[in-house]
Amino acid sequence: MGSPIEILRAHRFRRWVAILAGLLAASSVAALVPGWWCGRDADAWFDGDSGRVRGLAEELVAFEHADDHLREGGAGEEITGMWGLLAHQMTALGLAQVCLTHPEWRERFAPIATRAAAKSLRPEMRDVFTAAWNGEDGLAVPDSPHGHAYLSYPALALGMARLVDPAFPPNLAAQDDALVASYERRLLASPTALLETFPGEAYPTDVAAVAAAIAVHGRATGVDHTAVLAHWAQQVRAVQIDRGTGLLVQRMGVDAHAHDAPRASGTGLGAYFAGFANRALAEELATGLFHQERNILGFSAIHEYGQASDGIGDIDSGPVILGISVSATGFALAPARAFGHRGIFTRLFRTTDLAGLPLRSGNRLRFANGGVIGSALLLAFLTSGPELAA
Amino acid sequence: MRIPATQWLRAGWRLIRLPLIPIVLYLALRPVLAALSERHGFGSPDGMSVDYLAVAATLMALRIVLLVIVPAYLSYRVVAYTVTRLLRRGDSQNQSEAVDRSPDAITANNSNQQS
Repeated sequence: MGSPIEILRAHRFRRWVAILAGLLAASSVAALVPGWWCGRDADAWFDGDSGRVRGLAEELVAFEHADDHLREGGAGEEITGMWGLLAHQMTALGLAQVCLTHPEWRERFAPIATRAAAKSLRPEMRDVFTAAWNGEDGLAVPDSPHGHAYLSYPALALGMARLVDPAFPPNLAAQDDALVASYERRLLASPTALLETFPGEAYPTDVAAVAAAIAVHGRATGVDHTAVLAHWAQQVRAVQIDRGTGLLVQRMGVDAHAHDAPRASGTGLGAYFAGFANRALAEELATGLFHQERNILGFSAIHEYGQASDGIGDIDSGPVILGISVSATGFALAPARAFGHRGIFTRLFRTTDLAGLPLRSGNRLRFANGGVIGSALLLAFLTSGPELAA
Repeated sequence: MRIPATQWLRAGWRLIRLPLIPIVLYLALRPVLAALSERHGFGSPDGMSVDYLAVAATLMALRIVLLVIVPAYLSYRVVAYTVTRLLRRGDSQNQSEAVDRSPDAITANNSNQQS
């Protein structure tokens, strides 16, 4: 037997070894478990698991049905304005992408995609833009010299619904034709390939949506838009991308004078839209976007600003916390999946899973913390790929 | 010496009783959020509501606790306990061997062999 002092020393030694081993185990587990848990579904989404895709698509179908009931009620409680435009547009795009991947579901989802696209074209969805143009409704003035680039969002939704819905209504097809003809004319007339969204303000992201609408119209109708799309791509590379960061300048004048910094949120959504029209350009934008990735313990998020600039959040980026943009992080999922970046997709998805809180409810799957807009955006981004230009 | 089954159960209960609280709360609130988020949320038909925001924020906090703190706490307790026991066992063996090699023990052993 040792002396009491030796026993005490041995006891203390054991205690410290146990504490150190425990702390090592605790920190290893804290570093590994959250990433593993939140990334469990990443591969399934990346590979287009039909159960998950169908569940999220059904969630947006339920939203469109609920929206129809609210409209029938006439109380004006349905979602309108910019958020309504985005929710219906992204629902239409997501459902159309699902139809392209799963033609056997076309009968179920294509009519809903068409309904969502038609809603995105309603006047109450664009009233903020109409007001900004002093009451000039872009849809009513196809020959206007003003850009009205915001109408590219419903135009793209219409084009995608038209692509997948054999019963696409002729009146909507005529509106799609008129919008695309107007955009083609405006874009060719603009030396910088920039069209205004608001008076004096052009957003390269919105112009990427213009190009996407034109490209999808070509696919749906067989009309050749090669010249205008080549002009757009050339000018994006020439004046809209910041050479230092590879990001799109967020806001510009039509003279290509920058009104804002190069930013990841605009680039992320721009990369998704550009993919409809020009795969190589979309990949270039995605490369710039992925340079903004910040990774902690397997969870990724996208930094909004490049090295030379800084700023606060706005409606485009969502909240910017420690430089991280909520919107850009979500947008980046689309090019990550579409261009096969499984690692980046997985890291971004972990963050989406942690913050979005995916929940199953019956045959539906939703991201509970994102609301309808979050779920609509994620349907479009998590199924991105089949819409890519050849 | 074997530890009686009730002592094992008590030790197990002491280990899990704290983590059990956030687990039970999370499991109870999850279906509540599933029901609330059916019509509430950003852009959803009934918009944002205080109930939805409160449940979503609580569930989010619980999720982080369950993903980070609970596994870290459990692994700390299990590893610290296991290491302590292994070291104690090693010390006991060393002490037994030391007693076997002591002069008194050798004398006693020799006298046993002579008799």
